[in-house]
Amino acid sequence: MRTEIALKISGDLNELKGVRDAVRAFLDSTKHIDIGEDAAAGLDAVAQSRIILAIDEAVANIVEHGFADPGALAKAQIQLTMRKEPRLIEFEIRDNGMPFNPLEKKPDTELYYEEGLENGLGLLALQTLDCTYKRSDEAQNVLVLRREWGKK
Amino acid sequence: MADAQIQINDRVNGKKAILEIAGELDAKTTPALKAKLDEILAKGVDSMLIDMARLTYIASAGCGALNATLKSLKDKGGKMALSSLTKEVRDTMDLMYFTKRVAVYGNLAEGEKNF
Repeated sequence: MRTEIALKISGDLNELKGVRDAVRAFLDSTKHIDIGEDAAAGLDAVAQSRIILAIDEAVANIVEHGFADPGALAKAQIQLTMRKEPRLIEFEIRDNGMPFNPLEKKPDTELYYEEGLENGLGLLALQTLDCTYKRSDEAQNVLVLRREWGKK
Repeated sequence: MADAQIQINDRVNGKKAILEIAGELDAKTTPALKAKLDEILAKGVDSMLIDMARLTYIASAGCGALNATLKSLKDKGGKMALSSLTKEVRDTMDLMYFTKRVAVYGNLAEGEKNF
C-alpha cells in the first residue's frame, strides 16, 4: 500500500508548527497500517523526533536563507510531499528559492561554540537520514529525505 | 492552525537565575527567548539553570540562543546548566553537541542542589 500527502507552505516561519504537526500525524498514521513488523510498530519517539527536526530545519532554512529579498520571499512556493512505501517513508521538499544544496554545507561546531554563534548547526539534523539533493529543470531545489523501516 | 508558543518563567537571585521554559522553541518562537535571556544577562546574572520539563521541542534556533547566552555567561566567569530534558529534546541537544558543553541534571531539584 502506498500513501502520499502533499502540503503547500508559504515563506513564513509561522508555518513551521503546522509542518511539524503534519509530519507527526503522518508518522503516527504509519503505525496503524500493517505492512510489516517495523511499520506495524511504527518508529519510536526519538526516531520520529529526528525526522520532524530534519524537516523543520530544512524548511526554516529555506524561509530564512532561500530568497534574496522580502519580495521574493512573498512569492515563495515550498511543497512538502510525504510518501509511505512498503519499505520506507520518504519526504520531498521542493522550493523555488535560490539554488542551495543543504547537504554540501559542513557545520563547524568548534567555531560555533567558541564564538557563541546563534546559527549554523541546523543542517546537522539532516545527517540522521538518507538525503539526496538536486536542482530540478523547473528551477527548484529538491531535497529528499528517506527513512527505511527497521533501520536503527 | 495554532502558532507555536513559548512561556518562560524566571527567578533571579543575585548573580544566579533559574528559568523554566515551556512550549516549543523553533525559528519562530526563539527570538522571544533570546530577548528574555538578554534581559536577564543585563541584570548582572552570570549563571543560569534552565529547566526544560515542559519544553516539548527544540530546533537549532533554540540551541543558538542558548549558545550565545552560554558564551556570555562563560565570558563573565559563570556557567549554564540544564535540567529535566525530555528524551526528544535531549536527543536534539546531543545531536548539536550542546549537552557536551553544559551540565545536565535529571530534574530541577537536583539541578538546584548542584548549581
